[in-house]
Amino acid sequence: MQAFREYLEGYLAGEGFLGMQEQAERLTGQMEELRLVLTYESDRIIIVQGEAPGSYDDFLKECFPGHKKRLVSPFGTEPELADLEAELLKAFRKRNPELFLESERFFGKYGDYADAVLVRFASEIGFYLSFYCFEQKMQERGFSFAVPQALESSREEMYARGLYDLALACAGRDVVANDTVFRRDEKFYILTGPNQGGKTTFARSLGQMVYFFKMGLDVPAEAAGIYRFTDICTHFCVEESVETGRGKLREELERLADIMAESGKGDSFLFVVINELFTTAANYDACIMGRRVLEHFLGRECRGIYVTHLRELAQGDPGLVSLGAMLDGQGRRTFRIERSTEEVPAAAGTLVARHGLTYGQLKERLA
Amino acid sequence: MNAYLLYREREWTGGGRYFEEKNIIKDLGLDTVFWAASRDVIWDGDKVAALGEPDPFLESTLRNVMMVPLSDAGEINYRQEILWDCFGEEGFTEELYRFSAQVLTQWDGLGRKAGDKAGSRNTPRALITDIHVLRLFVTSLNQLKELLAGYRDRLRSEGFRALYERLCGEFPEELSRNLERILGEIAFYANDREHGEGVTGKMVNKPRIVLGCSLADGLKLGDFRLEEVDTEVRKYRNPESLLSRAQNYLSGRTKILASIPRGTALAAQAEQLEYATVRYIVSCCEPFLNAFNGFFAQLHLQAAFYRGAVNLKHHMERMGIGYCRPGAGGQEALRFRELKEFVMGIEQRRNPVGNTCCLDGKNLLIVTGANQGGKSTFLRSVGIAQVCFQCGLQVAAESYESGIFPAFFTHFTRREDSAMNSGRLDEELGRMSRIVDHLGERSMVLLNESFASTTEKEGSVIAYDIVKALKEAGVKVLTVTHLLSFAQRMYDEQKEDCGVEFLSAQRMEDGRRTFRMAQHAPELTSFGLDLFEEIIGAQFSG
Repeated sequence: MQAFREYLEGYLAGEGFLGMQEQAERLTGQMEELRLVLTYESDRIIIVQGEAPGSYDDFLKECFPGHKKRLVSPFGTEPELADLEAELLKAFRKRNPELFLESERFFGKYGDYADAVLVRFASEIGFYLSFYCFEQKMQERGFSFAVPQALESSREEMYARGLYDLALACAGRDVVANDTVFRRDEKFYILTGPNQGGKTTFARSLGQMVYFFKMGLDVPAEAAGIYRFTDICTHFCVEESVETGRGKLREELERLADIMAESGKGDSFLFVVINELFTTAANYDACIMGRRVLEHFLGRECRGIYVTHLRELAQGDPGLVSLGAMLDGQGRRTFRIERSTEEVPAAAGTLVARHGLTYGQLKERLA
Repeated sequence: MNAYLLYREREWTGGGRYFEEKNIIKDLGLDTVFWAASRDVIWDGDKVAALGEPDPFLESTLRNVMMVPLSDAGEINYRQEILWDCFGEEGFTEELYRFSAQVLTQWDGLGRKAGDKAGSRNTPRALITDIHVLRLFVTSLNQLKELLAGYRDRLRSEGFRALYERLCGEFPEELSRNLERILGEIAFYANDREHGEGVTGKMVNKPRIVLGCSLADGLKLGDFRLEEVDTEVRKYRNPESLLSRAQNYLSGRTKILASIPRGTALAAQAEQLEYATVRYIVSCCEPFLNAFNGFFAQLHLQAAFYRGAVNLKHHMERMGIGYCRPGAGGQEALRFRELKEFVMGIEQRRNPVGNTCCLDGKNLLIVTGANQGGKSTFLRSVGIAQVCFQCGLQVAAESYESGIFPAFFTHFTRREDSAMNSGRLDEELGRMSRIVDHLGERSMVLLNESFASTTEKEGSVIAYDIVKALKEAGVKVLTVTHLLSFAQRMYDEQKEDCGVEFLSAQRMEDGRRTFRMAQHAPELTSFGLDLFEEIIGAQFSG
């Protein structure tokens, strides 16, 4: 950035630029002072140099005070002159040629003024500026961003504190942040829990963290340390629908095969996000297939998260960590994701009591 | 602009409905009321000639509005005043309703409902439609003003008076005149689009737009200031004619001008300029359009409510059923004279027996007694009256005074379909439990033969528990029951409590029913014996 600043300073001080600037200002000034009055009568337009104060605008403002409408030229969307505009100018120019002649001379002298370096800078800075603006806006709304640390996979533990789903935050919904860490030898999270408990959201937030890190930008968390993955792969399934069938399973397997092949390549170090695989297959099959998939990834250099309904997949390998979407004391979702291995149950009674209509129950309900 | 004819300070939204309104409608037979509201009674002198054509909008409006209770005496009074104005000036009520329907129909013809689609808004066709809608609004509002002004002296209610004043305030003379002026000046756009095509000598609309501008970037025209817009009605002259061409030549010598020959790209762009100008002017009028956008539909619905009520009045008159303007008392109040079951009256086309009771201060009413004695009818008549009262309508009685119970529930079992299985009991209990969930500050529950879908013993225990708990929670309960153990037990416990009333369907010495309720301890027998005698006894006696 500093090198760029020096270049820019040099350019602005140069003689060529200063001369061009002075003349351009003079010409534009003259143009801006020019005022025309057009009278349109379906088959012709009469042009007169002069002022039209806009009495009809005033009349409309009087009738409807506070309206913010403006009469805008219908030809304003295209930078080129519309035929009608050209005709008007041609007619006008016939009677007032001097102004136009000067402009032509100016164009002849300074036609190729664009500096190649500046043009490229303008297009590339957009990327950083737009992310920066976005980050500012989110921070004003109370969301944190962190500069992620790059960590060595062999020695340090990948972690995140206060990680949240940026997409959800942008949509204006409430987000719950989570903390997470991949301890020594831990490679894959297995995330289970009740429907709508925040599992997909958590998987998304992990994916976002790695993705933004790879883009060289800040990540949606309070603090994070991430490995230098060579690539990130995701496999999300669409909402289950009644007409699922072999077609869908085939599609899933084909996509999966691509991901597994990626992880097989020599020096690849992948981050894998898998959300609900094999929902169209029977539990028994899904369990076996799931295990095979996990074995494959555990055998390669990668990290990831596997969201599923099958808690049993978490057993059998120290590299797998069982996480659950937690419920509170009253069975409500908290959207917090924590290490856990338990299940959650349900209950029953006699008919009237079941409806809560015994005298005792009613007194409580109506208290 | 608001109509404010259903509420003093807000428009109709349809929120705050009775819980499980479908049950209330079914249990009280309100479909018949809605049916009656949709059809006027046509008289031939003293006799009824026919029923008028049904108006489905009246039916759906009554169905809609009757199912939202008003919350205090002020709201009820506000509507009653308007209602009584409508009763006094039935011609006005009909005219108002018909006027509002007509505006909507014409607006529909201009694509009211389709107009919400984005994307099609920025076309010349859409602009022409907008101009027509603008004209429709201006014309209609002037008509409405005239209608209200004509009846000004005869309408006493706050609602109608305020409506007229509000209309004059939001659509004053000056605004009307300005809009007419604008519509006249942009008439060239909405009327003949091809103002080039014409027959020589015919009058056509010619546009004239004067605007100021300057040169912006790229020599594009910018900073438009609109100076003048006008439509001139002139005789059409062929632009190719010798006279026209000569005139253009002369003009060209003295003025700077650009010619726009027909059919060229220039002409197409000139049309864009026309469009931009007219679109700008019409969009300035948007505040006016927006202010009245929802008004007509609201007016239509609100006028329909009163129009439907007038029809109900006609039906009552036809049967000879007296009606009254009910009064709002405190929560303990409940008394009436000659209260009739209006639905039954309409369905059976007769004048039913009326009941007169004073139940002030009672918050539990238990009705027992003879089969077919009119108990359920009595209960229903109170339910119907309460619903009518709570939405500002007239009640089918000589007088009716009660408290307001927005948390109003009915729990009816129709005796005919009480099959003896736990499926039915389960359903009843479920319904009851949902009611308990929604009880509030001012609750009234009507129980008709509840829990009859099980044995008398079990039903009595269930009923006892529930009714006792409800009463202790301050809920006003009116129940008709055959569960005599329940009734007897309540009587034994509660007879000292003056908050409890026991009524019984009257039965004469010879077994005749009068269909009137009277204060009476619960009968041990429901006098099925009478019926038995009547049907079996006579045939088989020795």
